[in-house]
Amino acid sequence: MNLLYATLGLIGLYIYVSFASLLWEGLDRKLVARMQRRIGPPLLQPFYDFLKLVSKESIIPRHAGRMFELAPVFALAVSIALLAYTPFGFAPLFNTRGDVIVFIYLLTLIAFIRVLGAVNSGSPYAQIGAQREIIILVSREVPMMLGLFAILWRLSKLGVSKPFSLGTFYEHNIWEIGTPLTFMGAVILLFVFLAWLASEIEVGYFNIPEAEEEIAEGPMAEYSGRHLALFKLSNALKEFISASLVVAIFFPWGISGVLGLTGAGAVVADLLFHTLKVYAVLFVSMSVFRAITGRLRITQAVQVFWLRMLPAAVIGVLLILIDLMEVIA
Amino acid sequence: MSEERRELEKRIAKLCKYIGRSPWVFHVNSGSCNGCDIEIIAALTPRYDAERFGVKLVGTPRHADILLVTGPITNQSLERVKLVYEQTPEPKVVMAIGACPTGGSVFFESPFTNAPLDRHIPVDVFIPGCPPRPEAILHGVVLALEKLIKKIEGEGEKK
Repeated sequence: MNLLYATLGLIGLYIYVSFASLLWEGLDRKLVARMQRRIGPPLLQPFYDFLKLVSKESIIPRHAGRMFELAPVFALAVSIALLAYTPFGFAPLFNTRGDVIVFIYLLTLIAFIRVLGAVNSGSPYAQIGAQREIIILVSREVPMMLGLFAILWRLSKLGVSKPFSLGTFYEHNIWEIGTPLTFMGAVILLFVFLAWLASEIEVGYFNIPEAEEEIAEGPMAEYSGRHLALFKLSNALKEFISASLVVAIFFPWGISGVLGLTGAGAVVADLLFHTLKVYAVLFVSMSVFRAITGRLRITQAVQVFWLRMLPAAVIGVLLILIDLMEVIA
Repeated sequence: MSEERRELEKRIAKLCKYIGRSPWVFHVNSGSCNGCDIEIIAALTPRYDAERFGVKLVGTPRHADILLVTGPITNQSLERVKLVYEQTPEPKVVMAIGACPTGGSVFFESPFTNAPLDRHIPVDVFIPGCPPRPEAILHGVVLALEKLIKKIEGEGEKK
């Protein structure tokens, strides 16, 4: 019975998050247009794009393998599975001890499936895009994982019911420790996570795998029609999920306690408030970043992560560690 | 079977209306002098802002709904133009931008160019001018979409 409710909740979440994430894409395009003194497309533009792509012909190239057709379906399926492990203003639906590993695994798997589909398409553009995607993937995950595990480890010292689960952020958060060193470490890690988010959703500096002007949208080069529509939807879901992680770590506060709601009302209020916070984080890490920066070369992007972000994450983690060991003050 | 098919085609025709809401264009340069290309870019700049109609410049013909062909189709580019046309998924619209693909312009009767474009691939809208103004290109997009929607609806009712 419990499993049934969880499954129904997952379907509900899937429908809600699809709408919210596609609406964000429309908002993002409108906001960037306003920043460039343009009028911009209507808010519902991503929905029109999606419906158009679904109705168009889907071409399968002659040299494409079996994985080419399966990859979009797998990518969407993995995104939907990921929804069950994502905190949306309340603990994840299938919240268990140590589920952070499943979360990172599934998030990486989406990019990996995109690469598989691209390599199978037989197009040289898609293969260059796939190479770039893999290179940026191995660079960006290291500082993110270091920061995430360090924060979860620190929170587990405070005594939580399920250590190393994404639900712990709603029991304790990194700001409530309150000491100056932890605060400094958390601010540094917030910066690292915003950079990770920008590269996860591939905007601004990190729009390298899907460089439209150079390599014809990279991994998506050979996809058309329905297959492309599925990829667009799974990408929109991934954007929302990645931003949800940042919001859960650094801004987990709910609104239901303030409004005095309980039960289903509290869940809905928290979900809506969480959506607003996700939009705010994406506004900084996506819209503004996209409007003011150009694309880096792949070598420069790798340097940003290995030479700037990884040391920053190490310093942030060391600050939190030193504070816990009470060596200073 | 025909009843079922008619129903299905009516639904497809309804869905295809969304093409009018989000026409994605792909730019094919077949030996153009860059005059028309700059005018196409001008139509996308903040002054004219084609994105408010959902127009997006895409990087690959697989994503495109509209092909914007500029230039007099030189011998070297002829095969590529045909290839790009075949790579674009249906339903699609082809627009010939500028005097060159329309009639050859200064390359009229040159042995190295293959204008007009509609000798090689079906063209829906010609936009003459050397180069045409951005307003003319936007007007051409509107005409092309009207033609496309008429075509889709007509096909949906006929069968």
